[in-house]
Amino acid sequence: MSPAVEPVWTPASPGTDFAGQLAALRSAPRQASAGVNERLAALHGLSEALLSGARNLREGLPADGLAFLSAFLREDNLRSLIAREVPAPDALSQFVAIGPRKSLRLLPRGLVCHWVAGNVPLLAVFSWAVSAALGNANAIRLSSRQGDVMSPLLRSLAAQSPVGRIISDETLVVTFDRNHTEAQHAMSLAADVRIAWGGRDAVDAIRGLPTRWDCEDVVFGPRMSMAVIDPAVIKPTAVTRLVTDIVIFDQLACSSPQVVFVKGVPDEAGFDAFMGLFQEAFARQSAAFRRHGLDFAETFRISLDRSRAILSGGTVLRDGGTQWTVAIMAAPADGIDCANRFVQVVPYQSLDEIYPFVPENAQTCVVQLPPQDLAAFSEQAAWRGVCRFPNPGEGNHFENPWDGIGLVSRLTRFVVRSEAGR
Amino acid sequence: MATNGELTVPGQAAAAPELQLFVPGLAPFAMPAAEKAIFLASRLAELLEYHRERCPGYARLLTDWEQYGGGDGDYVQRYPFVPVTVFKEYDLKSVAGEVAVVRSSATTSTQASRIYIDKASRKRQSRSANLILTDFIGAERRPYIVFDLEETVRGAKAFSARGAAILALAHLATEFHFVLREGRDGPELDPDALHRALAKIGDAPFIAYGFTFMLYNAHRQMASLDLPRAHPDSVLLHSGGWKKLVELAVGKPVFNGVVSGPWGLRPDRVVDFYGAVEQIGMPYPDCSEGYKHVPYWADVITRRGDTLAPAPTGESGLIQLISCLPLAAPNHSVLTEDLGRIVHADGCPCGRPGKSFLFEGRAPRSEVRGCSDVPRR
Repeated sequence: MSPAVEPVWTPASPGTDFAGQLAALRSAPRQASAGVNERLAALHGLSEALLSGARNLREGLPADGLAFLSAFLREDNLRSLIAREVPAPDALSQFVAIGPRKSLRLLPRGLVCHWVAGNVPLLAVFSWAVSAALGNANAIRLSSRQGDVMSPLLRSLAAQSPVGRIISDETLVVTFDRNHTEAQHAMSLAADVRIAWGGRDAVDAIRGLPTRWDCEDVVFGPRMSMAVIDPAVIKPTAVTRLVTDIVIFDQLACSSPQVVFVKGVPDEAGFDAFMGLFQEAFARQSAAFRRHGLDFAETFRISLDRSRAILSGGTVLRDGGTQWTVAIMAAPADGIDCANRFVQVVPYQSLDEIYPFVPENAQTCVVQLPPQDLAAFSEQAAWRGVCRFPNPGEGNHFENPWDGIGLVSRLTRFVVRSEAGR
Repeated sequence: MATNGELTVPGQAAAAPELQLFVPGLAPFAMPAAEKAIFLASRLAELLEYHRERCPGYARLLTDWEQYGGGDGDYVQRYPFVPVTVFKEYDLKSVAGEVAVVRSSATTSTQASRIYIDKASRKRQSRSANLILTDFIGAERRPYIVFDLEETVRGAKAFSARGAAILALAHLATEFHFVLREGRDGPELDPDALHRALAKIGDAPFIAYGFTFMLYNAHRQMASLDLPRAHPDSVLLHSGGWKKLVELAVGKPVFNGVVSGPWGLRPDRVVDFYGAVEQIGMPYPDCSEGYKHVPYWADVITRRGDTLAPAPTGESGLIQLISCLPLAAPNHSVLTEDLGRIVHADGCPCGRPGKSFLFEGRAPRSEVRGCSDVPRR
């Protein structure tokens, strides 16, 4: 194997090169290694360690994602995510009756290979944690553009308990160039499940790799997100949380709202009051959360998109530099790139005005609406493509299902048994 | 000379109004920095109001700029700019009625820029290019070999970026010789036309011009021709993108060797000049040290990635081009997608005072791409 595969975290497996390590991970007996309950307890321990603020754990992890990661790894949270999808979670430990004549058992699929997008490094941790909790071995290819988020976690996990050690020993983390064909093929061919995170080019490239015929593909691909807000029912604290959803991850996550539909019309008291809070929160949160350093093309694009918004008849609210931009537009402008803290606000008076602008590749729609409006809107928008309707502040909270995909089902093998003599 | 910000400059009264920008008898790079700052500030302020009154779109951009400010720095550094792409997507015009439109080369962008030019601007552009190029290659008019098709300067095509660049040198020409013809794969060398031109030029010094890639291709073909040595005062100018040459791994030293070789000229007689269709009339030729200089009626600022704040000397940034020439459209201050760096605030070894800069190519496409990077469908 080419030396260009850089090990980030190497478990104590017998493989001597990348392909060998993958083969060893896949073939290692896991039947008696650790049950789901022990695994969930070990991950809960990691959550506690994150909360306690151990310095070695904070290295490489974005501060803004630390609290959420800690909450995500809590045992009750992971149990809740599993229970949403699996009617009999005990089936992860033993055969469980699911009717008068049938029992169900859920087993790990084997080796789950994760290709992680560079823009949101925590994604690796989310999909790894769910997969590891379910008993799978994991190989993670981190983007060469992102920091190592995994090693501090795995080191801590290994030191905590024997089961923590088992999970860390079942995890291989590497980084290699996306054009490293040999490494890409090796990882893809070893996978029982491929999880691909990223933009169109990235996921297309991964889907195009050779693989086993029975390999399961989980593609968290390119999608866009939005928000729909009625100023009459949103509190100032929720406005701040909405803005945090937009600002965090610099809008490079598929769950980052790009367009916010706001009920009302400009120059009307309710709309203007909301915009005052929104603008203030945008400035505040943009200062509070550090942004990645923009390259020249991104910076040029902000300047260009501000000009586009103004020349298209929009109103631009912004800082004096390039930190944040709110463009109030009559309708979403497709040519404007809503990234790096650049959001379009579109006033509406009836929910019917919004539906034509809900794309079929929508993912998240953050909502704060009166109950009747929420019921009507979510039904219509779900049919058009939206997969999640979280409250403000939960827009980027990874949960199961995600992108409309139930992750537990994809990461386990469902085994059914007829009960003898019945 | 005006040193106090007054717009009326002694000695300019007799000049046509559209040409009052230029100070008679003053070389383009000779104005001391302190005087230039005052000179530019007053003219740019006047130009800003001129376009604000005539171009509603620009007026809206200015309202935004004035509300949020243009950052720190002196007047010129805080002066508003329009990203060049805006001219591809919006009609920004400061004159009523029929005016000429220059379009950018389709080879460098998917959508062409549309830059309006009126008669007054054209005169300013012509004078500007004349003064700048004269400073570099002398005022003597010479035969002009054009490495392009003759139809590039005929009719509507004269308003292409190539056509405009060819005509920018017309004031230096005693006669034109177009030496390319349409071939199966685009323009190619016409050996007969070249031999006819050289027979007429004899051993006199000439100027030649071509778009960078076209000049390179033609001279590759010329390597097999038996050409007479050119007069050592001859000069070969070129402008345009290096993208295709970079793909061929051809750098400037190789390029200069290929182009100067068939003529027996020194490589430094091949002069690259940088320019933009949004700033016609503002050629930036390389000096003997390989740097570009800014005349007193223009400025160049490089801006940092991330903040767009002015980059300090020596640091690469996006190039902002400013000139006092355009009257038909607000393209007098544009933010390009090109990278460059200021090399000297003053004191280039070539002897020209004032700022000198280096053009470093097009800014690369953004590397940070996420799962949100997708068109709505």
